[in-house]
Amino acid sequence: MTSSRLAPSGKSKGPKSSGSKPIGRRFSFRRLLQPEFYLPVVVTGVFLGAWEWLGTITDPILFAPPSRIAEAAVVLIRDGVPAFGSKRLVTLQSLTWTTLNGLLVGFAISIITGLLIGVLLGRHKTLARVAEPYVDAIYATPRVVLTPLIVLWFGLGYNARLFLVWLGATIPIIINTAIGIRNARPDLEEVGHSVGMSERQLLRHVIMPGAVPYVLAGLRVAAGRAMIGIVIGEMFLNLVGLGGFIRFEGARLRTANAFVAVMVLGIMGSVLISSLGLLESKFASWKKEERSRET
Amino acid sequence: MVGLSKTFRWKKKGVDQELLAIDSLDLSISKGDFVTVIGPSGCGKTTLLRIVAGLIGYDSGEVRINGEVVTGPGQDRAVVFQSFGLFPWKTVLANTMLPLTVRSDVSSEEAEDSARLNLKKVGLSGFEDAHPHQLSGGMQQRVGLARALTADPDILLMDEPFGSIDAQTRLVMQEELLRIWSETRKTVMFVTHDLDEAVMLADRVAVLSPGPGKVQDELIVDLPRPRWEYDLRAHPRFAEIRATVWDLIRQDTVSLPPSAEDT
Repeated sequence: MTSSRLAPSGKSKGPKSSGSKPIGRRFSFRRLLQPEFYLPVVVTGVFLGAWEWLGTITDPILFAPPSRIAEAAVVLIRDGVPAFGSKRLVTLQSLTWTTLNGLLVGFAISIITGLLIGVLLGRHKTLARVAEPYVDAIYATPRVVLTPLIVLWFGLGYNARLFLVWLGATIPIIINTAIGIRNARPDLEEVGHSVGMSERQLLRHVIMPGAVPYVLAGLRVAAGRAMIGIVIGEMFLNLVGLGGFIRFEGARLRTANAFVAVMVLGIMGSVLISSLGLLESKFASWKKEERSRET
Repeated sequence: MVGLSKTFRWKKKGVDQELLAIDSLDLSISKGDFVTVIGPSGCGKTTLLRIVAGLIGYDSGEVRINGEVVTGPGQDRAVVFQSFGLFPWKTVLANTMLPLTVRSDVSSEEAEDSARLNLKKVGLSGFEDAHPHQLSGGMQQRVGLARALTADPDILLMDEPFGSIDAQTRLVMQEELLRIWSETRKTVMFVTHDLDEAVMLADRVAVLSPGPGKVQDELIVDLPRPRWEYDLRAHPRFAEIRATVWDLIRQDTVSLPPSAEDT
């Protein structure tokens, strides 16, 4: 069911002008001059400049300046670099793909399982009370601590990495989904009853949509923990992907290479989290409006 | 012609602490009637409406509509809630269509057409794609009304629908409600605590006693319709009826300490 967005211009017949985007050209050069935009750019520039300068006066091994990092990146992308002890050339792209693969597959599995369990726990209070201590315990335990056990169960490869991602990401999804389901608005449930909704319809039209903002918040937390999971797996089990590359190159004092991988990981993480933020604004914008109204 | 009648008799409602909300209440509403239910706070008028809607049960007595006993919500009744009850994630159109989307025998085109029609009736054409938080309170309740109309019920149940709306908009909404009602002449049960509203809208006013509620009295409002074509409040009969209602409620509400002067 698509709904075309009404342009909330505030000038028409009567709706309250809520905190909506001002109508106007999407992009204008004037916007570039706004402090909100140029300040971060300036700060980043200053930061990079300082880093570059520091790099020239200190030992280049400790402190790869941005210029060297950029050079290393170019080589890594264009030709690849012998890594992990073999003569085979490894490109940045293949490293990124390995990491991304493990991350996304693990995350996908955790979303599916997390949602299912979360819904179950959200709807059945007694089940939730029984499961809660275990869920909390797993959540609180650092995964690094569990790696020896994980090696025993899953070995050192792909499956173990998936498990690490899954373990970290699923719990926040479960918790937030359960909360979202439990927080279903009772007044809307009553409306649902009054129009004659069955239990399934109630779930579909009232409870699940109401839970979406909570689920998305859970996904954001889960994404962060998934990132940690994949990196742990790549660094402490079989050295593969960006994480493994960082460890390997770092140990051989090829700091510039390591930094390239660190940056890519950082970008990967922010892209993941901001796209979830985008989902949130698309599907849960009503929640923010609701909150700002309840003053 | 009595096409529609509802009779309540005994009713007891137990909560964790026992609260007798309605006790031996009798009320009869005929088809096409606009009945207002008013009473002091806590008299059980909202409970009464919920029972008729089928949202809560009752302990003794009977509720019948068109001769059939009420066991739960149904297609013959629709509710307009004080808090509007709109789904914030759905558009105005989707909200309005809701009673029909949950019915398997209605196609989505039919549902949409009906919703658009009713939105037009309440004066909200053009807002179909808006979301509730973009609308003012009065407009949101209009959507609530449109939704109830879309359900095409035999009985419209309104639970203090204008209670959350500012005074000026309320006056406008009251008049609009009368207009819309005069077109369709549905049976309406309207719960309120506002005296003016109760008299102004109704054919009959049922005054409830303080909790546990019974029907204390029923007053017939014989003011001519359509009521927006003249200055209703200036009509002498309006003042009379209103005064009678107020006397009844005032005795119940105002609890003065015993004094030698009091009757």
